[in-house]
Amino acid sequence: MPLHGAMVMVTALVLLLGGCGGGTMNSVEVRPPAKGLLHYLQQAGQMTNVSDRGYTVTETAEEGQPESGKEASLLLQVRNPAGQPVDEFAEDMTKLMHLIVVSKDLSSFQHLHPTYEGEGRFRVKVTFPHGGPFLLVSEFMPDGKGLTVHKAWMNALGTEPDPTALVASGSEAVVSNGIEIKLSAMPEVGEFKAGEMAMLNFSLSKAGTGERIVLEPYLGTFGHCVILDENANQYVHVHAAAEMSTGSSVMFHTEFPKAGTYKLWAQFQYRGEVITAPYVVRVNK
Amino acid sequence: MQVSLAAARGPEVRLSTNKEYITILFGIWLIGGVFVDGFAHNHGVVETFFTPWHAILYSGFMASAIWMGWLLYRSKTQSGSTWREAVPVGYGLGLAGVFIFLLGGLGDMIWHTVFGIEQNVSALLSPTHLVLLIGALLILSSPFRAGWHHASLQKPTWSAFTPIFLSLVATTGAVSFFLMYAWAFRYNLPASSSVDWYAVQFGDGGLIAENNQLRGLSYILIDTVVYMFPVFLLMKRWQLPIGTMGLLFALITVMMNVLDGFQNYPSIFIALGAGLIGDILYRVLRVREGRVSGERILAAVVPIALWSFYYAWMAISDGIGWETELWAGSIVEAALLSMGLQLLAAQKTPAKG
Repeated sequence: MPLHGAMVMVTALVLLLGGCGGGTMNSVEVRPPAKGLLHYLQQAGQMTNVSDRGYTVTETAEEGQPESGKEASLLLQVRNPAGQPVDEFAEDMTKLMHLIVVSKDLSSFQHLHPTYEGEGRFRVKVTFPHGGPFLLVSEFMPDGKGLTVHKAWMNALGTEPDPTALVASGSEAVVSNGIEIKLSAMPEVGEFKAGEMAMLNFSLSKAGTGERIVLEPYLGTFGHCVILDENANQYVHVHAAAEMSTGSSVMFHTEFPKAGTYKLWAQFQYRGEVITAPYVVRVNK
Repeated sequence: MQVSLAAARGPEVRLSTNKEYITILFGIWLIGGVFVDGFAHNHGVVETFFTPWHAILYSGFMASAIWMGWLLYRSKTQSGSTWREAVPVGYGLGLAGVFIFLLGGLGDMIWHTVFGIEQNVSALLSPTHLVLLIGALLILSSPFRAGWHHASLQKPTWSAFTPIFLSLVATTGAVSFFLMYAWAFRYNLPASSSVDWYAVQFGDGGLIAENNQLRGLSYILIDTVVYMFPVFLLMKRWQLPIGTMGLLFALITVMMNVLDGFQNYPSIFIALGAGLIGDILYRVLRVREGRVSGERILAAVVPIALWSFYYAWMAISDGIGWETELWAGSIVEAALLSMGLQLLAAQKTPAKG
């Protein structure tokens, strides 16, 4: 009887497996899991909406409110949760601070590196291309803590461009500095889902000739990718997955926190110059 | 090698089944802590010694240490024997595990202070983490040893066998966690989709393609050992209750699936199916009654079933991207490995004449 039962079980299993049409087994390298224990533990190390840990950064323009088209000098003062200036910073990807400056309509993007002057003070020169609000995102590692991200808005004087809705660009190739950048993704571009792992793979070649190029490391890795949603609420900064990248193809593993339209800027370095490739993608629920 | 049952000595202290479950629970907590901590290091999350991961780890240790200590203390006061005699059967090494873990923990603190926090696989394999693992495994395997040295327990029913079995499953699970980078069902390297992906990503053929074949083959062999060794160990000592192998294979595979959120869940059914084949052979070939040739056949057929089911499912759902020689050969190699292991692990038959 137990024997008979076991045979019935085996038969049932075969039938059950046959019925589960979607049960393709993948490599975790090909399709990193979007759930499970390892994913949960990895999440803690992801730079999706990293908090400011109670740290504040006050940005002041030294010559009054900055004007569009004119170089402004910004002073950034980092304070700990107790309000005291921070005097210990660790390098994050070769720099003590990364400052991302993005216009509210996401049309303009700059990735800058303020210089440290001691006592929690950084200084940087910025030229705002037009008037209106700009998001300033500063990333730093204070007091032996992990990456800390602070967001603030700053208004620039000058005419504001007409608001244009963000339209998903799909995976069309982008040409920047004579380099053609192609985006392929898993899942396919346009089929991203909120809260699930997405792999973005950028292949770079010479525009026109399609000749292979070999990238140089940029800020300690093969590439950086900054991702913002249309309301500039969801902020993600990912670094290239080194083990999945070669000189002419760079992969990022990321996660879009919520549904919506996102703009992403992938940055690479070739022959001393930084290449920035912007894309607009749609993320479903 | 003969099975050495408990040597005759003073009155043996034997724990109740309920207590064995508590040992297993705390042991799993502890191993979970070692594992989570190792993996959190893995991803650059941890930068100081005082982290939530270490909190899980050391609270698990406190629970286990207090529990083991209390068992010893209770047994000592109740039996009135010496400390040495008061150690419950099977728990001697477990108590040693508590001290090993303590040393590992102190070492871990010093190691991290001196050498910093490791990244990637090296974190999981740092010397102090391995010491922690050994300590935790000794604690976790105590109920198994207690059952092993229970002379009158020859044909256990499930109710008597469960704590022994769970202790072995959890111990094997911990070993397979530490081998997660060699787990065939997580990488599925022989699948067409995997082979194609690596070809697109890194170019067709070449070193990566060859390495992936070698990886895939090695994983199949390593995992064969992980699945089969506990089977041989169990068969050597007890007449197993029905369904032991099916349950063993399924539980280990479920535990590995927790890592990736059940992304490769068909592996659970594949392993369960192979385990049930083992259970059937165990009855049909009268291995239960001690037939040695039956045990050898079982050792060969179960891996054949496991990997045949695997490739069959792959062929149906995806496609096999390996040449026939390679995938068919891997099944045969796994069977040979398992038979070799069985020869080494099985009960020695008494010499004739």
